[in-house]
Amino acid sequence: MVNRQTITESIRGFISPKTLAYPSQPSPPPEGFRGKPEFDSKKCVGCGACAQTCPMGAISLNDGLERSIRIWYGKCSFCGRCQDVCPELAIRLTSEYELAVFDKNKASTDIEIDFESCSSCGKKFFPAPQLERSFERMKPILEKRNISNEELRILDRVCPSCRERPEEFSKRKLFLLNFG
Amino acid sequence: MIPSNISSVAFYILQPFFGFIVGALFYWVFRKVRARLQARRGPPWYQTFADVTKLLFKESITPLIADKTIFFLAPMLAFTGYLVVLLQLPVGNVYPPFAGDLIVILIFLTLPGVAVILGGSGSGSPYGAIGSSRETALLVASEIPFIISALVTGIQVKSMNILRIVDAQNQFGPMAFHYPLATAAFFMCMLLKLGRKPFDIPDAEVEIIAGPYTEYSGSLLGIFEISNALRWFVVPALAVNLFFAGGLANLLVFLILCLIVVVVISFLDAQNSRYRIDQAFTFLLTWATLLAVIDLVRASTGWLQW
Amino acid sequence: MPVALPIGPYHPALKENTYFRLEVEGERIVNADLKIGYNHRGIEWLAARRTYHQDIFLCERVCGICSNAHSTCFCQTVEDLAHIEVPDRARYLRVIVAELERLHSHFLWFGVAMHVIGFDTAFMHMWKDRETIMRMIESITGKRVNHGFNTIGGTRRDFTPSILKSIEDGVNTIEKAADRIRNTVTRDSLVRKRALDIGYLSGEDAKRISVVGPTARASAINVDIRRDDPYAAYSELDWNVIVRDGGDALARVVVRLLEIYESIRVIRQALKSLPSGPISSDISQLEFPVSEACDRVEAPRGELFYFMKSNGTNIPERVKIRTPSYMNNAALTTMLIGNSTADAPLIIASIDPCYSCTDRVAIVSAKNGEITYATMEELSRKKTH
Repeated sequence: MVNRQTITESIRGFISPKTLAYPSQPSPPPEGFRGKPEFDSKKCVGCGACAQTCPMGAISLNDGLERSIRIWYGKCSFCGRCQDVCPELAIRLTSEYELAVFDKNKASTDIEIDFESCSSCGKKFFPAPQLERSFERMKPILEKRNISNEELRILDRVCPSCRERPEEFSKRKLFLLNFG
Repeated sequence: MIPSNISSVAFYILQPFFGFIVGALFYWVFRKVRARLQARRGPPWYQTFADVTKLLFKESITPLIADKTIFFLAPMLAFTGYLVVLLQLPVGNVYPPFAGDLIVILIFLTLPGVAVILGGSGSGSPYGAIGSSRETALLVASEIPFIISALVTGIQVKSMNILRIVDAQNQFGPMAFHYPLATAAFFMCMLLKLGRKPFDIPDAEVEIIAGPYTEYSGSLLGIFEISNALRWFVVPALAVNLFFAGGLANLLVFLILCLIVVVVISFLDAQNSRYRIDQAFTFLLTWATLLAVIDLVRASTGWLQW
Repeated sequence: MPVALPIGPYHPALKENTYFRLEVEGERIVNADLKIGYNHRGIEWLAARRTYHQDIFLCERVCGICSNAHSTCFCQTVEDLAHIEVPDRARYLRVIVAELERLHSHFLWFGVAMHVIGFDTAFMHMWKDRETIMRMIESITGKRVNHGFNTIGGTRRDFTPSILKSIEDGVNTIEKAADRIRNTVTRDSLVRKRALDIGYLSGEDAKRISVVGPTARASAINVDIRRDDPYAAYSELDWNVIVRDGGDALARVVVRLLEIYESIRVIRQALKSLPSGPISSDISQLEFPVSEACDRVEAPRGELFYFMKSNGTNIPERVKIRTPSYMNNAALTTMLIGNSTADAPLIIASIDPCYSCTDRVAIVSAKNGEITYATMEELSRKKTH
């Protein structure tokens, strides 16, 4: 009816139970735990790579006058793909896991990214921070060829449909020839 | 006839509440001890009260194919059985105004088993029907050693009045000392009366959809839960009265002895797996009955006494 | 005249929903039938509409207990398809996490088996020991289940020296826990009584139905994908394949118990000979050829098989998954017949069914008959006599 193994195990369990009296006793997750992703709106350039790669579709882009990036934690599976692909390291998965809310719309992070306006037609065509960031990245390469950053900026602040106009087209061809 | 030392009115009003509250706390002790032996924490002390309160406030749904009268009466029957026994039990130094025979107590203690059988088969649920038939088998098997071991005490004292049995132990010494085999048999049957492993076959504690309690919900299930709390007081109290000198006429000692009985039962429950019905039947009819019969022979013939 | 007992889809004895139809004469089961598909989620359809990287996470969620097996098999199939080379360190890391998952799955199964026979204390103790494994997995991969550890070309995370040390200590703790399981299972007479000669599956039947995994190895079929078709780093490690010829539930218990010890051995070897290097290869310039590939791994329940067809884009054309529980369930009808109804729950639990894995394709079979009801848990306790 009784065996020694279960008795010793039971007595050990009696002395120290293995369950926590949560939530009065907090339960911090271990290091390396993938919890709620945090989005740094200062670093975000609005490229939308996270939205494209999210397996659950938790990150959505809404383009209007501005680009609205919305991460809704209801769908997030905390896989960390967004953290893997973000080129600016703006996403970091924290250890937070107590995400219950009463209003499900509150379980979201929203980031607004301004669009760059075309210098000739005024249409909004590209996220401004991403354009700025790509100029910064091009700076060392341009310097090696003694081309000023300003030149590239003037050329690139034109929307794709305006770029196909004859005067723009020839300007670009010249630039590329100089680029070598 | 030992006179009562408390007014009848006070006794008959206070005893049910006392039995319910203490029984609910004993049930909590059982759940806490079992949980701790399983390396987890267990519920807070007010869990039974919270459960009963919640159930009493909820709607009780009667299945369409159930026999409505039987379905309704079964919980009442269980409650009545325990209540009548409760009102006849001496509690430490409080003696009831009317203390019935041991035989009466044993008969009323079969009522809850019958209630479970009726409730299960009257609910119209096939799960209930099967649960009831198994409960019948177990009731048959367990009543024999239960009654024999209880009667051993009566035969020793040559009276079936429970007050005399308790009183005699105050001079004679606890029955557990003189008749350990009967005590062991009684403990085994207590496990079944309380619905604990290894005999919790018909008890729907672990099974979600199973057993005679399947179709019960709301206030009717609440009454079953109240009788459950009562039985956790009545059955250990009966054991202490019959075999442990009734707490030597001291309320505190009585309650402490009951608590020890509850803890031993919890320990046995946590250490065992569940018997199959045929194994339980055989076990009760062979080992438990054998122990009880040996002590019955000893008590009635006077051989091998100590 | 046999009476039909339909059981399910909702019953407390099994952890997932399925439907059994037992035809019973007295106490003997004379015929048994199985209906699955209650957990069908359309995963293969979804997989053909997401990119390969997104599909890793989708296929991981086919099953909670063997999620790493699914993710490993998926990544391996894609790596076969596109001829991607996996670095050595990544192969060893995959082995370690796969064996940790096997440990957690077997501990879980032992707990469930104890619960089915009513030994709740042993169930709680075994799951308490399983917590050591789960916490280890959580600190290694970031999650307890659905780890997200594998990526195409390798793994996503590396093991720091402190993690390696914690795995070593954890494995020692688990070995002691496995000793405790062995004591409970071998010394407790009631466990032995419940599992001996129950649910017999002969070697010929096992071959005919093509069961896989511990269910097959308990019927004397010597098959283990880790040895027969090595993947990850298994060809460089040394361990035994546990085969028993009992064919009953007790044999399956013994096979799983000994496999726990073998997994511990594999983890220790992998930790010792873990090579250094990158953890994934660079696939940023990859182009997918138009071709097909298939691959298989040894999940805790048996052989898991993936087939993939690509059309040159980054979205697969077709992903086909064949899980081990799919094959093992077919053996249930053979195993149940001739046994008593009280043993049916243990028999079903002994093949370690994972209906989350099984139900992506529906199989329909239906007959009609007279009906009386019972639940599995109840049958386990109420043996007619």
